[in-house]
Amino acid sequence: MNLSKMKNYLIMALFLFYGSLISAQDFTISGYMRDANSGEELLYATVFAEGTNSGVSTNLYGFYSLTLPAGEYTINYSYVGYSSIAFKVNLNQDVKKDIELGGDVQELNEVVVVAQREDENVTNTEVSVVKLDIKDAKLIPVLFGEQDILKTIQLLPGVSANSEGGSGFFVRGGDADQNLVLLDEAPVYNASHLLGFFSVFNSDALKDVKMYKGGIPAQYGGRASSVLDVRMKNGNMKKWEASGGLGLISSRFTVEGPLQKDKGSIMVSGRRTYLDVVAGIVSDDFADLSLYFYDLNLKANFKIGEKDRLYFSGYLGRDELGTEDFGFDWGNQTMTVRWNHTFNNKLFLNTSFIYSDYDYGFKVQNDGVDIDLNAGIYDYNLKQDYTYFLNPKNKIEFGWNGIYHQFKPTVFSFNNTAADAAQEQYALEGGIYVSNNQKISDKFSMNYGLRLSTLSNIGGYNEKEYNEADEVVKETIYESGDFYNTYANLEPRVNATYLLDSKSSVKASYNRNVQYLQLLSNSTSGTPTDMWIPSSSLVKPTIADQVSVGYFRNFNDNNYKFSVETYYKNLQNTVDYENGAETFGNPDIEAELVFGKGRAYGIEFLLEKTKGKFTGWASYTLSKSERQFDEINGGDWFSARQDRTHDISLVGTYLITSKLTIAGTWVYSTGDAVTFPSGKYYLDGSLINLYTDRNADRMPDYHRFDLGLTWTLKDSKRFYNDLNFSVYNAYNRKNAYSITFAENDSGQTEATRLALFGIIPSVAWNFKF
Amino acid sequence: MKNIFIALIGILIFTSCEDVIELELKDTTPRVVIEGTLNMTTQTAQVIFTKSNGFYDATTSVSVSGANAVLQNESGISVILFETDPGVYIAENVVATPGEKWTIEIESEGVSYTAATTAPYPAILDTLITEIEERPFGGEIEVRVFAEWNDEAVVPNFYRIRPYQNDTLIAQSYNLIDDDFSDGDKITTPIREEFELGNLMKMELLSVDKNYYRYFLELSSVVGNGFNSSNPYNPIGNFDNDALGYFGIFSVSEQEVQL
Repeated sequence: MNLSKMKNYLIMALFLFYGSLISAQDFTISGYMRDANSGEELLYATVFAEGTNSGVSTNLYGFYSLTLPAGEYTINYSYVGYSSIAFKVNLNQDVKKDIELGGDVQELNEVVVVAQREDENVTNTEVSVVKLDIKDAKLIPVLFGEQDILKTIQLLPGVSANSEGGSGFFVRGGDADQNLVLLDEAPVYNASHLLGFFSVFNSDALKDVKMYKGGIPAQYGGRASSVLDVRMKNGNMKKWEASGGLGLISSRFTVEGPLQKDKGSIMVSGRRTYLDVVAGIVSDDFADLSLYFYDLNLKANFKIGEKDRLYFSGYLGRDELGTEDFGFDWGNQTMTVRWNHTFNNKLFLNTSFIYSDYDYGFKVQNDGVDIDLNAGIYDYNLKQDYTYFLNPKNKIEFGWNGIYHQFKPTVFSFNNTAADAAQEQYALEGGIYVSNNQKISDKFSMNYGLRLSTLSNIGGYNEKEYNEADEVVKETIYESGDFYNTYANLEPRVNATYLLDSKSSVKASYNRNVQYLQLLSNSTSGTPTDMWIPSSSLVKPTIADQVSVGYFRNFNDNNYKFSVETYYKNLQNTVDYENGAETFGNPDIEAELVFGKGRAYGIEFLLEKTKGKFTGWASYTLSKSERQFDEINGGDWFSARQDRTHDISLVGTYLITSKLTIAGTWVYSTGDAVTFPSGKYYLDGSLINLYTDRNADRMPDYHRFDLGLTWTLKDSKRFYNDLNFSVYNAYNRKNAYSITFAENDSGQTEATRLALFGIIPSVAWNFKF
Repeated sequence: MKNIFIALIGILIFTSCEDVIELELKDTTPRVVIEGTLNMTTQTAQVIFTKSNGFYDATTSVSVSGANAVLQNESGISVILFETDPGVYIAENVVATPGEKWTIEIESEGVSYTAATTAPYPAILDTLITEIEERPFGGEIEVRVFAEWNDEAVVPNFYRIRPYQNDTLIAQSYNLIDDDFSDGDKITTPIREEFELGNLMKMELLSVDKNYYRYFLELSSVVGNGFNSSNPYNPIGNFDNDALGYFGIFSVSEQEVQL
């Protein structure tokens, strides 16, 4: 499809949206929804006019706008976990109304408290979406007692951990690099600390977490499998407060408060681990060792007049690993500057400038040998997102963005002489989109949109072509600033919901996602040295098409929520390595890549209990994920490593007394698809394992039980503190992290299992004042 | 209280464990494995012809006897290798000159396996530098060794170092080196293996051809198992007809030091 044709389609689509514009005596009620205690904006909260079918949800900045024919209405405001409120309005002119939920409602006499709207999961147009309540997630027991939203998300259907205790994840059979991880709109390129055991997300600094496993809205682009949209807290607009925690291996501290009451606020949060200090106390062997990470989150915002608001958010995280003569460090930095502008009661604009980077450095100084190594990716991103509340039946979102990527590959220097390394690369990734959330009838609503994404490589670059023996056969030189090799793709996104009755619905979605960046990783677990490369004339962008269909039903006055979803995902241009590829600092890395196809399909069941003393969920996923490369397994389809046939999570929280909560999780999954030896031979005097097909074997099944207990010591308005005890792997299951095959001392060949974590108790003290 | 705290930490860090498990593995039809070498220094050509066996089978290799092995250089001189032990075929007095192309052909059970490679330029192991160092903690004495030699300029050269202690090969890895960073210069490389005072240390510097180097490089990426390993596969050398193994030419230069 050529570009001008695409333009035509876009213009046509725009006209379609405007088709239903005309209506005479309509007025608009608009404003922000906030938490009454902290002044934090409520995202995706619901606003609807009772007795009508008219309703909207707030956008990512808590803004809503509802247009109705003139008349008297009861407007209901609701948000999960809060009591809803409703008030009467005589709509004979445009009304601006900011609403605070969860506060002392008796002061407002026009307001009535109603039961919260709990059937949103059934009625909204979102399919394959996972939302996480950060407050609830804190009760769930985790490794080392270190709260981690990524690990909680892994307990939901369709999302699985990349390795034992790991924070990396796979979504619906996709690869680990196919997840777009956003922190306040900034992409986080390596969301792991400490070789993957912790994520970069410090729960104390977070407000909202949402994951799209499918049905990805048109405003998001750039990754093939999923979007994890994490938003930081704005900071309390009403009063100053501090919270934190002391754990066995880390501590956290957060301060937030108003810069000027109800005008602006600031939040600063920090976390640092001290595993090395602890280890040094235990044994002299660790005396030289430094091994820690830290995270710093900062967010500030200020309202400028009625219509404008500025936000600044920043994140800095770093891992340090070193001894006397060896040092290794890596980390992400992100910075987001946002400007919210309300043109009028219907049109809302967010403009963001985003900087994001990930880099690592490695240094060895030993006996006159001086090795220095570093690499990174640096992003500059400008974007605009408009929300247009056209009428109660149509909410239009449109916008654009441009990311300038700079890729600095591994630069290796030996005794201060730089070695022959891969070249720096530059690329511009662009996107424009438009989408409409339309209520077609009482029962049928749709969210449809289109995204046009592009990627252009930018010089200076010396592009190489390779023959079968991986030798360079042709070189093309591009001058600095030259654009070359542009890709453009249209990505349709459609979600539809049909209400069967007030408590059940059927949903379906189709979406195409194009990914222009690839993470080069040859190891089975990710490492900090894995680097990103852009698509090029040789490396084609990965294209994912996903169809999913789901059935949603709530029982027993929304006490129980049940859903079943099935999906099929098709992947084009997936990337893998040739056997024996040299990935580290190889200037001709592209020659070592092979390109193939992928497919993943499955069915996901989720049953939640949301009310009462006992809450929790049970999830089960039955799935398959396969890849096909001409160069691997003779071109046959083979299981992807993350192809876990069965995946079960049981999560339960029980409120014993108002001060004591007990929580437990049990997980089970089929072992990863791996390659085990099927024989052996001897070469150069030593044993070599003989392999047959790629990923034709299975690791042993994985299962584990974790237990947690939260004991609230004091809970008053002035001071809150609790003690959290947790036991990871409570029945001490020896789950195989890896299995190695070798000769033992007596010359016998045998299989050895490494179980990384046995039973691990931990304790943490949390406070807030 | 403090003791409890420390005990807890101890548990945290040291809960990992390794144990031997019984794991059923698939069996596969035996594969042909040929290790063909031409040692330019001793002028000996050798072929070790075996077949693979099951992973849990006895730890002896399965020799293949009765094969015909012939070595030929680019000017048409051919040498026949004779079976001296089951599966071991040898020819003496084979003179190879640097840059000369050699082909080996082995025929067994009606299938012939062919591989070719080019003789490398021999380097001479120049110096062995030893440093005696006392470790700051525990006070252990450590001997660090560096090997030094001159690299031939222009042509790409490949090396392998084989360290011996009291005449026992103590290599922990294949110790492969190329001259990417030091073409035509003096190469100084630290030896990773540990030596003890009072022992006889011997170092062999093998100048190897490109096929030999590539094969062992692939081999080293699959024998390193565990945390960071690549996807396992069978390294493929320069033999045709699906034979595992390689045909390589090398020269040896050695030095000994009494520590």
